[in-house]
Amino acid sequence: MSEVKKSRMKPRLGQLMSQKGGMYVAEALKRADATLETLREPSLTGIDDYIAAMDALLISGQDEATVIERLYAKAGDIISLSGAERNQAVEIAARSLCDLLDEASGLTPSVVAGIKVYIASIKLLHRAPDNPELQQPILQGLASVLEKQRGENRAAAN
Amino acid sequence: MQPSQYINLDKAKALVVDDNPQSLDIMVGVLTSFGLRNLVRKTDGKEAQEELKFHTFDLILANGTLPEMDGYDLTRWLRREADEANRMTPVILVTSHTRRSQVEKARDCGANFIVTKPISPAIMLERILWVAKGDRMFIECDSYVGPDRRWRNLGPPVEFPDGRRRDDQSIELGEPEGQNMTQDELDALIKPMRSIA
Repeated sequence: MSEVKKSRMKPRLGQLMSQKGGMYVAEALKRADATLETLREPSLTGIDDYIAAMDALLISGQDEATVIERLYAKAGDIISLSGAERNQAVEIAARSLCDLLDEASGLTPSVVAGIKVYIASIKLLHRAPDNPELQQPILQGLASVLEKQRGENRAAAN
Repeated sequence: MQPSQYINLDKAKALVVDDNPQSLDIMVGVLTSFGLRNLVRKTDGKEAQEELKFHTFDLILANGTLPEMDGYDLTRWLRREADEANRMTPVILVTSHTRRSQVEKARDCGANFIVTKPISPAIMLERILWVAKGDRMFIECDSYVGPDRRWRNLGPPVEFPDGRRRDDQSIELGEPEGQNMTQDELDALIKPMRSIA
């Protein structure tokens, strides 16, 4: 068994943060929210671009592994910017798409169909007001798509 | 984290790494709002690694997925091979999605925290306050180098699923002895009273 060495972490950050000056936590959070508000529209435009890029990737004719990898990256980019949305549904949908792509072994017709459903759903949810009654059926539908795909993956593995 | 708590990040120096420029802007924007002025931005793991070889930082924020060298490998290198000045620097990794194949790698890389995107200012500031407190031990062994991963109270041990140990007092309250107090009597107990002195 290897030797375990333990030492106390004393980050300089702690000493610096306790020095005089600075601001209240409430003020820091207020400023951060104001900053995020200024970045809201560019972030939403960024999501527009990523959705368009995903559409283009599906018909790009590149090899399957590259398409899956790039779609996964774009879905991750959408999650990064999804804080700008007025609802959490875009984040949930994009995260679920990442799951689907991470678990996909190739671009079978059913995987492609699933991806198309995801992209169409994200388009519907993007820039939409926070309305759980409208979002919930869409998210449930996406959960069913992922579950169906997982079932097919299990069947293929056996 | 209390709203009335005071923080001072004026003199702290942070390294922020993300390959998505907009996401990098968000992270830098949030940290700047917290008063952190001394920030170095990098867009890939290798560039960040070079920066860490020559400069000391008080905080590192990196995306889990990065070109060239990902955030997990960067943190693993930092903990095992970097200069002494940076080896224990707090690392907060941010991630949009962790691949199934990378869950263990993320867990064992030596980061202080892994935070999911989109960035929430409240969560980010809370994690910064936690890492600044420095109440975790730094562990070094063959299989892991980094902050102790067992630092939080995760509730009752698995062998006591009801949360109670064998020698804990009974939770049965039993029957009351005597009558309940009236509301007037309860009010009198909590009524402010002038000090005798």
